[in-house]
Amino acid sequence: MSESISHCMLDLVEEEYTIEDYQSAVPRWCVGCGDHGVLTAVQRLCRDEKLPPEKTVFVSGIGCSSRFPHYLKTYGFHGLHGRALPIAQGVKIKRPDLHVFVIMGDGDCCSIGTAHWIHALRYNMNMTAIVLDNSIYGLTKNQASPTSPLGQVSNTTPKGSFIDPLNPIDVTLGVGSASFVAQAVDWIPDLTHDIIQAAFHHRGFSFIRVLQRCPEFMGHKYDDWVQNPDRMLLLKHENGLKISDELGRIYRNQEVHDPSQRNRAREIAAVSDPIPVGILYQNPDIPCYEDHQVSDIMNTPEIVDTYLQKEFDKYTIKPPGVNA
Amino acid sequence: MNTKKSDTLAVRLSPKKTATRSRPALVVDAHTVEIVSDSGEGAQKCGQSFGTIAARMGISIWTVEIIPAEIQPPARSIEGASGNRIRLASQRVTNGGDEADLVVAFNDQVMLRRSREGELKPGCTVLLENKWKAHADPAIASKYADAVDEMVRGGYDVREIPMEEECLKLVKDSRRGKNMYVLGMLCHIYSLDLQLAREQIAFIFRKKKQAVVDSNIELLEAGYAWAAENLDLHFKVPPSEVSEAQMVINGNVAIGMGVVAAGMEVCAMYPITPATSASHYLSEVFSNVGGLVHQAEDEIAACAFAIGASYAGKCAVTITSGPGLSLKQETLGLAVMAEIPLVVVDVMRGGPSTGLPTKTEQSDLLFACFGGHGDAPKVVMATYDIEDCFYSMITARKIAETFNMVVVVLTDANLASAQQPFPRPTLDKAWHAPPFDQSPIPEGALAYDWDATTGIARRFVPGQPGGMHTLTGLAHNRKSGVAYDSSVNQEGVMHRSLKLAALQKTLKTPEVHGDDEGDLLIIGWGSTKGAIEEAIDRLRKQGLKVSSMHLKFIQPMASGIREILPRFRKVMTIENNWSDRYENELIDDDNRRYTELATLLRARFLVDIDCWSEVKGLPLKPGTVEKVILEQLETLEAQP
Amino acid sequence: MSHSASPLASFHLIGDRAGLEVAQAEPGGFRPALFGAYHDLSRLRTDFPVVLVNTPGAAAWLKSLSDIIDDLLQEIAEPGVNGEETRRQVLAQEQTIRQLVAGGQLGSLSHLWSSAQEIVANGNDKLDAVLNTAREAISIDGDVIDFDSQLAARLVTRAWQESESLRSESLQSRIDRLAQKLSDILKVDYLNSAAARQAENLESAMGSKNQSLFDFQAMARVLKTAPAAEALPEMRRNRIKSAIDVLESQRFVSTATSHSKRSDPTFGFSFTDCESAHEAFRQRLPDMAALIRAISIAELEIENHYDESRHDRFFDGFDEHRLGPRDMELFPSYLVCIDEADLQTQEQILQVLRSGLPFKIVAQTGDILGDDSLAGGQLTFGTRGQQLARMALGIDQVFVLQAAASSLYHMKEPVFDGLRINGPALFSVYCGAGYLESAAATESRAFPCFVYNPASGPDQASRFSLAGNPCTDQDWPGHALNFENMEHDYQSEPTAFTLVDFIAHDPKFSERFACIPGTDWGDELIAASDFLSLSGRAIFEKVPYVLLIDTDNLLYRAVVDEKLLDAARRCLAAWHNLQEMGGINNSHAAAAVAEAKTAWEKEYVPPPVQPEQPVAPSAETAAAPAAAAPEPAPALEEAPPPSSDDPWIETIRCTTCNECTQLNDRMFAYDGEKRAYIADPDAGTYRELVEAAETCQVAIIHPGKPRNPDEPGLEELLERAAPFM
Repeated sequence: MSESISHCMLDLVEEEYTIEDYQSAVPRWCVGCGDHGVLTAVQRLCRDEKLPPEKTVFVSGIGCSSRFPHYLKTYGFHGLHGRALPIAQGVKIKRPDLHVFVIMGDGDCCSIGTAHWIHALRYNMNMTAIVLDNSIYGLTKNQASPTSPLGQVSNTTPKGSFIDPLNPIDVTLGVGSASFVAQAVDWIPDLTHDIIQAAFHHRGFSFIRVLQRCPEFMGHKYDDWVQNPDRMLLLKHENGLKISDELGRIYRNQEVHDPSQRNRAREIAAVSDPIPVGILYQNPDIPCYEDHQVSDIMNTPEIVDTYLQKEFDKYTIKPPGVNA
Repeated sequence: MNTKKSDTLAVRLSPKKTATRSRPALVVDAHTVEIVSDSGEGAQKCGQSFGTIAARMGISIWTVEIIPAEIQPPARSIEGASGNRIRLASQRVTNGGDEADLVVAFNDQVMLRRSREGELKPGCTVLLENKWKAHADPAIASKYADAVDEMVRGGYDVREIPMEEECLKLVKDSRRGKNMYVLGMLCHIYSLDLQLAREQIAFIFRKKKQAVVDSNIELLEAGYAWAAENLDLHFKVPPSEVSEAQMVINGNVAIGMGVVAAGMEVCAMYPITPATSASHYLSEVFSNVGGLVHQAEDEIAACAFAIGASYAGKCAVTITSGPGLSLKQETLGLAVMAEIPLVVVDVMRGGPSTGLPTKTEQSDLLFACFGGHGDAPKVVMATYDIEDCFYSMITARKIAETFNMVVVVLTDANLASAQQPFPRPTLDKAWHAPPFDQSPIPEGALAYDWDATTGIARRFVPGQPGGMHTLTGLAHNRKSGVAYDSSVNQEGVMHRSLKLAALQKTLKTPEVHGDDEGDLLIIGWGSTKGAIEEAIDRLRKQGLKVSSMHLKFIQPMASGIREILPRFRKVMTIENNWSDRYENELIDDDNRRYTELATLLRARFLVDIDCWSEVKGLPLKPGTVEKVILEQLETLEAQP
Repeated sequence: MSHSASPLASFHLIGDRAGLEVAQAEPGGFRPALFGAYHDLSRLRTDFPVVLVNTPGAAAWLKSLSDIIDDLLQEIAEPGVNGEETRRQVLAQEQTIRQLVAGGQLGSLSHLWSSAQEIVANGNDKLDAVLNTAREAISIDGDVIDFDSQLAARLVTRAWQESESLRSESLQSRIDRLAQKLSDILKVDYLNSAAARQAENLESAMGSKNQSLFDFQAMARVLKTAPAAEALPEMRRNRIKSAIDVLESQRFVSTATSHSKRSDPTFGFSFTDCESAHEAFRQRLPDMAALIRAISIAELEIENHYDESRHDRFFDGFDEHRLGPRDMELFPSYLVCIDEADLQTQEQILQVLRSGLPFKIVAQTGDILGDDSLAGGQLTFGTRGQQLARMALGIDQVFVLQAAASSLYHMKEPVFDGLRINGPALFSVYCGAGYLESAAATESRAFPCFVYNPASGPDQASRFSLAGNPCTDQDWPGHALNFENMEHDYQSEPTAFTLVDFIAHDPKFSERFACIPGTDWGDELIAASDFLSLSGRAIFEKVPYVLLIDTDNLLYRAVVDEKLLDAARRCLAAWHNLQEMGGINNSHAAAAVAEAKTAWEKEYVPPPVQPEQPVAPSAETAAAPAAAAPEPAPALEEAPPPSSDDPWIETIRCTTCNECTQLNDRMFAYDGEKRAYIADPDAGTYRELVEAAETCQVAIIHPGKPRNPDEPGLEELLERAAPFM
């Protein structure tokens, strides 16, 4: 049904925002850290989607990446290592009016918070989760993470890490009710922006892994990919990403991938060189947890009163002589 | 609700007619009945119904569940005993009482279990299913014989009754409905109104077919008739003079109803005994008032989810038991640090580790107060009876949101499954949690604008224009900015601690039960209130100078206690958690570990407060308390 | 023999009965032969009676008794012989209900069911049991109505109630929600106020059983100093309060909140004439404006979007003149049921329809032929009532449905659509003397069915439908008439049912037919339908007849007065017109096709034999493993890179890493997308440019040529710059 007058009123008040409206402190990340680019991409999204800062919540865990909310002028929840997802779910469950984003590091999501990650995919609540995956623990000064490549030398793996890294995309695609799975790299900020935008418009839990450089501890891990556009594989599709001509000229290595093809997605996810970038899988038809859990009944004193009286009646006994 | 058929039966069975055979009822002012069976045979349903019917006649009751640890323990096993204890009295009862006067046992082994645990009064009457006597398996038959023999030698009055045989006259499978047959017997033995019994059956089988209701009513009436014909047991417990409508529910249901009445909308939990049944109740009703129960992937997630929901504007609750509370500690620290209101219910069970999952204990007190890392002041309160379970949720919610604090409500397995009638609450809309605050925040307002006196700061909720800030679990300044200079942390910690003091200033001194001076003062907390006060009353009747005091708020603790202690020659706590005993050779004043409340009181009041405790996983018995106190008084006499 | 003076012909041409052997019509008169099969309708399982379903949550708002029974039997009667008995018994029950209804019994299905059950079972317990189970299996109930002159009104009214309940539910829940949210704002304001922190309020909020625990005076003192939110500005509070008042006192729908607080009853929306409906609408306009205003204010307030500087002016001047059609959509529509609209009423109707307002008008007529006005030599006739709907079609954006009442059951969906859509709708319905007459009107094209639904698509094809008419692609529907001929043999004769046949059922026109008994049927007689397609001289050689029967079902050929055939021709023309609108024999299309055909035939040259085409790359190859088949880049002509003399940055690849900007923020700056570009090449040294190029993580800075030839160390710098040129 049309909102008519009230609608045009709301349009009338729709603010125009600038990137600065979403920027608070100057980021304290290292110069050259991948986080910068993602922050910019997110700020651009907020601006383009005209998200009212007071209606937008960024929930993060602990780690370099999780300082993210502090650099935004929205509501932020810089919580606990690994617990960003359940907190975000709690925020969202009764507040469909809020735009909820979750920012995690690879340690947050793939190590201490793994249980929450898997189950967040199961619940499929409507929010956007971004894993800033630099394959290393940075804030705690250089320990191997679940996504560290074999042989990665760190303070906890002086002889080089000896366990195969976990592939977050592959794991995610393994969860039946995953509904949006994408991979980005911090050095193609335009695509990062486009992917986050697609995720934002997806109704359900969108999972984005951003491969990131850590100039401090990962040295030149990604240099070859950063400097050689042909070692990137851009995924495009009319239902997925569209590649701008400008980018197309630079990144010629492209593939048409239909995001509804889960098996193909898993094949692509397995490839690490060239690095696939884009939307690997999307299924808009997976029901959202909140749709099932939240009734449209408003919790008012009146409703509670009426209902509890009925409940009380079930368990009320009247001693002889009392009829009430 | 009942059918034509049973009405005609009612006439045939009206006590008047059978009165000729069975002798007039013997009036007793209290009686404790137990029904025990292998689990799954419905002794619990029978017991609860029996209690409810008695309560509906105005008789005071307290029911205690007898729960085996497993869902389906081996049949006829000593550890399998499952059932219900119902204490009937003409005065208000506040606890499960001492030993049973009459037991109905579905087999000989569960009967032995109760007697060996000393739950049966000497000479207590036992109504025993006799089908095992002539059982095909000689081993069973002989076990039965031995058991009966042991009981008879123990001086018990054992009646062997053909329950199965009688039931099979009416139904094919006696496992279905033997419990209702027994209910019928008990209704006659305790002169309960058969019509109320029919209504009760109609209620418990309300979701089943009418045929099921009918056949169970048939069994009920048969049991009633059989008892009238064949048993010389016939008692009457006079109703206590209650004037208002009463509710009969157990403590966990009361918690659930309290959550609804408090206007909370979100309960996040992970299954754990004995807490889960509260969430079961909520899961059933919550959606009807726009609430929901979130069964999270683990205890941590449950707590984090609740914190998220609270942060978003409405105080949420998470319900768990000891092991769960341990897992939640880090997240609770976050709630304290970020000053997010939260209600945590800990339905205490035996510990540590998996401990006694189905049995009661009071050993989470210190852990609830001090469990968190760092300085994490929380409010800790304890429920002391079923009614209090209900109101505690309303109080907890209000405190949590008034002071932006975590409120831990300690209850236990004893209250969780115990039933006791209490006056039907009159709902008050003022109990209801406030709606989401979306009012604009004025220019320059700070996210943590701590009030110097009370430490309270107004919290900003997402959606409030101008309130944008990033809440953080790191030490933070008034702007909620991560603290980089040393003084900031001190400031935050101070203000969060001040809030406890502010709440403390609003608490009244707990009342003393009995005279406020004398020889011995017993201090208790939680579900032991009924047993302790009953013991005190008994002893005071004998003219002894003993009193008791029960604490609802343990953190913060009300003022005025300090003044009360010196008025007694001796002060001690009685609790259901461990304290070393001097009987053990190694134990002396230097190394004795005191009960948890005693430890707190000694530390705060610098008074040599003694303690007595047991951790049998069973509800405290007034008789036990009585014994303990008498011993204490003797030693006091001995002293000059 | 000469045809000119044939007595048949002269009756046909000038109505002269002299010298005619005609059967006299006895009371009851002649009826179209095709009516013969339907003498007792209550014995046939027609679509009537129907049940106006009023069971909440039922799937349909209307269901015919026979459909209900069929579904029922599907459910309870076993297939095959085993179910036979049940079927028989239940059908007997249905039959009895039909007769009751035909006998004028009214009431709900359940009521009629039990009355019928008494008759059918009549003490037989077994039968009683069967019918009881059957009855329990019927989930729906509602009034049973048979075919009568008010059928259309009652049917559409029921549909209207149904569709309005949907419409008002959504408005209702919206109003409730808004009222709730607004009062929440006030409640929060109160709870933040000092008042809420007074002892007694704290006491009630803490839970009544806990007074013994707290000293509420002390609590009030303690909380005094705690920081409080500032109170709601007075202006805002009043604005919210008055919005709540309007929401709760509105009379358009009944809402949860309204019941308690509202004194005035909810408005009525059902009328029997346009005048009063329109008047009511006009009187309510201010209320509508007030409600829309309150809703809009509420939406804004709840979102904290109300900006006094912006909105006060707008809302102060807000009155009914500002209401648009989209606002109307929120409100219930107005139902007007009219009988036999005369010309003046018709004009009113059209006026209302033109207004575009949400009026749903049911125009019923029982007589489309009118009096035999031919006497007065008038030519137009036989199309009365059709005119209204035709005229309505001329108005843009009006839903129009025309149908004989007999077909309404099959048109229940379009009827409902007409009520659901926003804006005006006309339902022009013919309820003849009975089901048969009414069905005949459709059959004979005297009153064809059609639906025009402006909401169902952009073009005529999707908007206009002739569904519901028999043989839509022909002039007249054909039937086989079975009868026993003189030789007592069974004979079947294909017979078209024309307007003339229809007119024949109306005694008013009996003078215009001359019934010739079977004995004197000459070969000069020709069926009226065939006669109508004759042209030229043939018209004068033949005499048109239609087949009639008398009360004893004796068959006659009735010669027809030429005037009636005239009417038939006009009726046919009208029908052709409708056919075209419905896309049948569309003249434009036909012309276009013909043209295209000739053009094609001119240009057509047989194609040479094609060589084998190479197979185009298929989806598979595109989806081959990533590394394997990278897709060639789009063939775009390269944008010429800026001359390598000037320094430049591949801005699009910038990762906002702050390296260059920290090196020299006058030389390197961020654009609106926070991506680096060279703001001023002369704001720094060539050395800085080269260093920036070297440190740039994504190597997108190109230093170009030195701008200052005198800068020291250029040679070395140029070397270092080389890789970035």
